[in-house]
Amino acid sequence: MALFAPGADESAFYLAVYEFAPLPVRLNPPSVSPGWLAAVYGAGRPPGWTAVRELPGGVLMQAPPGASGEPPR
Amino acid sequence: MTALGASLAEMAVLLLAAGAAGFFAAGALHPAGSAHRAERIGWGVCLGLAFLSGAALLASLGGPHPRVGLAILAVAGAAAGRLLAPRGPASMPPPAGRHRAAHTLLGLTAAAGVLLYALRAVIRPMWSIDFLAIWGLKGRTIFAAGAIPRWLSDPRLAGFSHPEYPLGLPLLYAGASGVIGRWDDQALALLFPAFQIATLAVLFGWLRRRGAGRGVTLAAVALLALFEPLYSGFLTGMADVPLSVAVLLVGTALSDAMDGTDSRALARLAVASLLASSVKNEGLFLASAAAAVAILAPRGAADRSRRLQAAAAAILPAASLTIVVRAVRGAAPLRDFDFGLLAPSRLGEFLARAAEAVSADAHVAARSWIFPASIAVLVLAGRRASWAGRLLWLAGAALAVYLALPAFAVLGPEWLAETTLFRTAAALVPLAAAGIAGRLSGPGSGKRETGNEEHQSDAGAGPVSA
Repeated sequence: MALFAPGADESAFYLAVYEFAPLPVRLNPPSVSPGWLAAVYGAGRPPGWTAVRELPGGVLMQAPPGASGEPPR
Repeated sequence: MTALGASLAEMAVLLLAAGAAGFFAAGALHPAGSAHRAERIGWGVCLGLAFLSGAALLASLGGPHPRVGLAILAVAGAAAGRLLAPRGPASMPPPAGRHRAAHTLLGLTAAAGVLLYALRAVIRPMWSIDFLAIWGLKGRTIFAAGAIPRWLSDPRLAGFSHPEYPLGLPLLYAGASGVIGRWDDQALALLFPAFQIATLAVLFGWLRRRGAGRGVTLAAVALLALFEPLYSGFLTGMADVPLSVAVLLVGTALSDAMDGTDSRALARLAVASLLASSVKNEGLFLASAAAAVAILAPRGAADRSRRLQAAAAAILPAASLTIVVRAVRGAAPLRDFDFGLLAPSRLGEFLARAAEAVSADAHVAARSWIFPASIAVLVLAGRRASWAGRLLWLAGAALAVYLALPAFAVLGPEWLAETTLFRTAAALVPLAAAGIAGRLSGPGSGKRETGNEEHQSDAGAGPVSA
């Protein structure tokens, strides 16, 4: 699980990591492996990604299969 | 009954069942009879919780469901407790009737301390950052995955959660959750008052068995029960409370082994060494320190052979467990520390860091001066008693390391001292309480057991027949 959240601090990251267990979580990673889900907050939306579900203040997205997804800018 | 009440009741029943299983298993470590009863209860709680960790470990290795694993371990433990039970009871004379009201008041105070900690622990789900990022994360992951996923050891994905830490506590969370069938981080908090009860039982039982007065013993138990810096909502969920009882087990078993109080003292020390090193990395250090105390502490009762046996029983189990775990999971560096500072070429940098560490330690100590000052006064008020003094040597060695470690902290001495010094030192307080109360009881103590156990003096004691 990738977490893209502008301004998220370590506390938010640790809470996310705990809540998503047993899935590993990375905060604002430079790239996302195929098949990973991403919780995307803020205005940016990575092109080519599939929206899975709207979240309060964000959206749950899936990176395109077969290639690394470009993270939101 | 509310949902929370039902969850807490379910967890309490599980803890009672695990504690009962541990009590039977502890029959292998303690003679029957009143002299060891309270300690056996405390050890029983610890062993029962270790069974829960073991059940999760078995399940993670493809073994049976934690419920079945717990049953297997409970039966095996009970069988061991019966087959390996020391022969003959060890009993103590009943307490004298004097000061009964005061003793009752101290007992009620201790009970109030347990109740207050239970309330602090379960008032909300465990919340501290270290619980979320380290102990709870790993426990929840192992429970939900039914295995120990490889990514937990991957520094890119889980470096922040310290892959180098032992998994005893996360496995305990996973085991208890596996048995009740869900992850409930509020009900799991009840584990911590259970650790506290085990600590108080061992403290009471050991001091009384070694001849400390009932009043001093109950006062130590009551004060420790109310020691909020250790038994706090913040530390609930972290490894400091479990480590504190493991360290007490190491210290008391070490003193017993050096004095040869009974035939199971060495076995208790070996088991305590395993428990301590399975909780935190400090456990390995404390086992090493216990071995050093066994060899270097003032002579007291122990002869050379007994000292060496105690040293081996202290260090070998912890070292063996560490080697096995590293062989299986791979060695992970201590990411918070830079021991390269000890290189001769970095002497100047090290000295500057050491000065910073002294300043940071002093700042933390000054802010909470009442605790170190009280402990210093109580230590000085006691009399020399080697059976109790060994525990203070052990606590002192650990404290010295905790004071020195900030000099090596990657994020700086002030950061480490501010975030860890107070709580890690607090985990030594049960050990210190046992040593202090023993010294306050005086050198004539350390000897009272009747039945098939012999009286021993502070100057020397042979093994008892149990």
